[in-house]
Amino acid sequence: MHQIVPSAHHLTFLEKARRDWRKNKWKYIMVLPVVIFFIVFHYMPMYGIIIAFNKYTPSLGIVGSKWVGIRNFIQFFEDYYFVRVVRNTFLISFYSLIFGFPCPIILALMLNELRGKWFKRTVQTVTYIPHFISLVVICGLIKHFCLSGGVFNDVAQAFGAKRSPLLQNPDYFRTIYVASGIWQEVGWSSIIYLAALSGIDQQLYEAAEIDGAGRLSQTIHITLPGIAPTVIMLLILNMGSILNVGYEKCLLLYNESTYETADIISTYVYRKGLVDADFSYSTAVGLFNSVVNMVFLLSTNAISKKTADVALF
Amino acid sequence: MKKVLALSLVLLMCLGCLSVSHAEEKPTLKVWFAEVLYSSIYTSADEAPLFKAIEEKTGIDIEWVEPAAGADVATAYNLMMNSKELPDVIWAADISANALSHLDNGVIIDLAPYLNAETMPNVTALYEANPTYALACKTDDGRVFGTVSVAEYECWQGPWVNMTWLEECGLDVPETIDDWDEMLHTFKDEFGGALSIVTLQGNLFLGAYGLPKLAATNLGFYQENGVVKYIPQQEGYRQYLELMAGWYADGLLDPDFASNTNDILVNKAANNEIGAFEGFQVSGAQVASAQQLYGTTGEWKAVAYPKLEGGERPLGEMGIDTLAAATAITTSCEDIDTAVRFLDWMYSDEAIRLFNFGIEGESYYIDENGNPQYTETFLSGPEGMVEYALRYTGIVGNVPNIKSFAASVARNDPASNEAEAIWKADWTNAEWAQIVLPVLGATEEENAITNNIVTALTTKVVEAQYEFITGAKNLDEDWDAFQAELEEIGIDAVLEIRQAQLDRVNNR
Repeated sequence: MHQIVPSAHHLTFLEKARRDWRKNKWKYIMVLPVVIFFIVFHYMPMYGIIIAFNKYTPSLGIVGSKWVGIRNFIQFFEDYYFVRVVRNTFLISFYSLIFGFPCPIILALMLNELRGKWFKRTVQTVTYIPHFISLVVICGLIKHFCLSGGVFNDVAQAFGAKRSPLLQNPDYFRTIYVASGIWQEVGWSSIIYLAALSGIDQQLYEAAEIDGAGRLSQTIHITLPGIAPTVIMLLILNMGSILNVGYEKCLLLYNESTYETADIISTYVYRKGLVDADFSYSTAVGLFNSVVNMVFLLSTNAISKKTADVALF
Repeated sequence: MKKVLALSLVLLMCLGCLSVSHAEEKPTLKVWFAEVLYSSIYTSADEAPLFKAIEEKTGIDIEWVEPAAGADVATAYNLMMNSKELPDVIWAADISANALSHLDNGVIIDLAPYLNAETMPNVTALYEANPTYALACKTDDGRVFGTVSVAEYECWQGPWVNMTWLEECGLDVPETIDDWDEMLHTFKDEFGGALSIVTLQGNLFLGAYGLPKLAATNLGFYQENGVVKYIPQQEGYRQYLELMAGWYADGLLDPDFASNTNDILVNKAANNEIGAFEGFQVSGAQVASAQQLYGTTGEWKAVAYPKLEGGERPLGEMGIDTLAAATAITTSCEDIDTAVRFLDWMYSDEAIRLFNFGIEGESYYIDENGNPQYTETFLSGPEGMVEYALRYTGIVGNVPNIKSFAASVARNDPASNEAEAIWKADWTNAEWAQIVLPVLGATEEENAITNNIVTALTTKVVEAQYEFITGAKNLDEDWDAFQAELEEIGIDAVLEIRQAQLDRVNNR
């Protein structure tokens, strides 16, 4: 009599699911609240995007408001300042990325080389404390320092330059924005790279030293490839928020003299909102932002998959 | 034993019913409000002295309805308006935005038949004294959607000058633009600092050229003899820019003027880095406390807005009294006569004094001239004036009647009152209403056209203003290009629409 014993290769889906459930029941139950949270608060409200295609009036509700199709988007594209605000948003974002992305990596690499534990810890603490200071406080400091009589101008004068209000020069705005951003975030962002660095096998370093590699050689050939996956993943994620330049910092630092470089999509729409509380318009702009961000995210992911074989999805 | 207990209970109930039936039949009203604020020490409006006083003085039993604590006012208002359970009266809400649809959909009633000397004597008298108040609550077809909420406008901003420097230089208080020119030059030569402003707060010299201030509140639109005009298109604006550009080139204007905030101005004034600035009524007090902090001295006083040599009186800072808020009666009110009487009582002297000054003996007393004055505790008590105002008065937030100027004078310190009087000069609120645009009702099509253009216009104007003042653009060569750009953005379409809206308001 042959007994038909189901071998591991021929389990049906249902049987596999049942086994999985029995083994991991409690893990599924533990993650269930989180899944519900995402469904209820992130997926279900997505129907509210309809507002971008409506002329939304609170009294008529989301579904009951008048449908206007893509008129809100056309209004946005035809605005007198559309090109300028989009250009500024992209440029500020790109500069932040190009100058701001390598800095935490470099800091992490340098910290990794430190031998003195006390000094290393002090440097780490000092560099990541600014992350916890409120943006409003930092912008207040920057505004005071950039005045004609402020600290930055004192330093400039010591080098022979003339005093001028730094936040009133459109050419300086991006520099001030990016530099203060780097100062604030470099310590905090370096933490994740330090974690990645600690995951590199020490034997590789020893082997390299035996082979006669110097410190710099070791860094280029072992450390960098070791943290490459982390770097690329964070790069892809950053590209996914390319158009999300926060309006708070620009709003706090800009004024009419720097609109040429400082006026971004969100600050322009914010000023518009002060005039006419148009929910539909701002939702349409937000949707435009999200679509562009997603295009960047997916293309960066695809490029990275092709070239470096590392991808988020 | 049980039977005795049951019998005595029945007896008590009967007695209870008897006593209730002997109670008086008071009229009742359900009043909804969201923006009349009261102190958080009271858990509900029934406990607050102001609301108790209202019920007492009107003899109406009022059920006060408010949205839940922490709810967003606009959302709560919309929910209430769209629900089946409407209150009887809606207090001080932003009804005017959707007034027409509320009237058409049968949510609120038209008050026009009740607006006469018989049923609403106080309101009628008020409207007769101030015709612009009457227009604020009318729709274009003559229906009245509510009674108006008024905050009597004051002059909040104006020039402050360092009197110590003035005396040291031997100059008089400047009255004309030429006086200011001389004073600023002298300040610059003697002390190294002159004038500082904050943009869009600092157009205090425009008034000399016959134009109201270009502020975020009016976005540059004003009216003259019923015609809507735009400040940046006027010749007076160009002359003002010439003046400012000249002062900037001479170093008389603070180069930081675009980065300044009010705090920075107060600091510079307290540190004697500048000799004049545009501030608020309270700026004198702010500078004084900053001086205490830094240990510096210097006497600052408010000075009148300057005029041109031999010119007319200058336009200072101005605004209109009427707010967008209004009080309405809904269609689910059964006792309309009581509601009408209640609405009218809000505008009686008794009610206005109650809202503005609070409870006699607690927050105010009558002085020897018969005028109400705030008590010492109210003005400088340990909990702070705002807390006392929340407890006893109704002036924090929106009022369903009038925030009177007299109350403001009684509240402020003498320096603020003096400043206000100097800046207002001999202007009256009625004259201001002739220049400032009233609250305009806009249709959807109109908004679709103007909304996009106005922000772009304002951006262009403030940028151009900065460029002209700092000399990046030349007033002789680039003025026409600037005007052409304004037209390209679409100022003509907006002016046309605003004019149509103003005509509709005036024809109500």
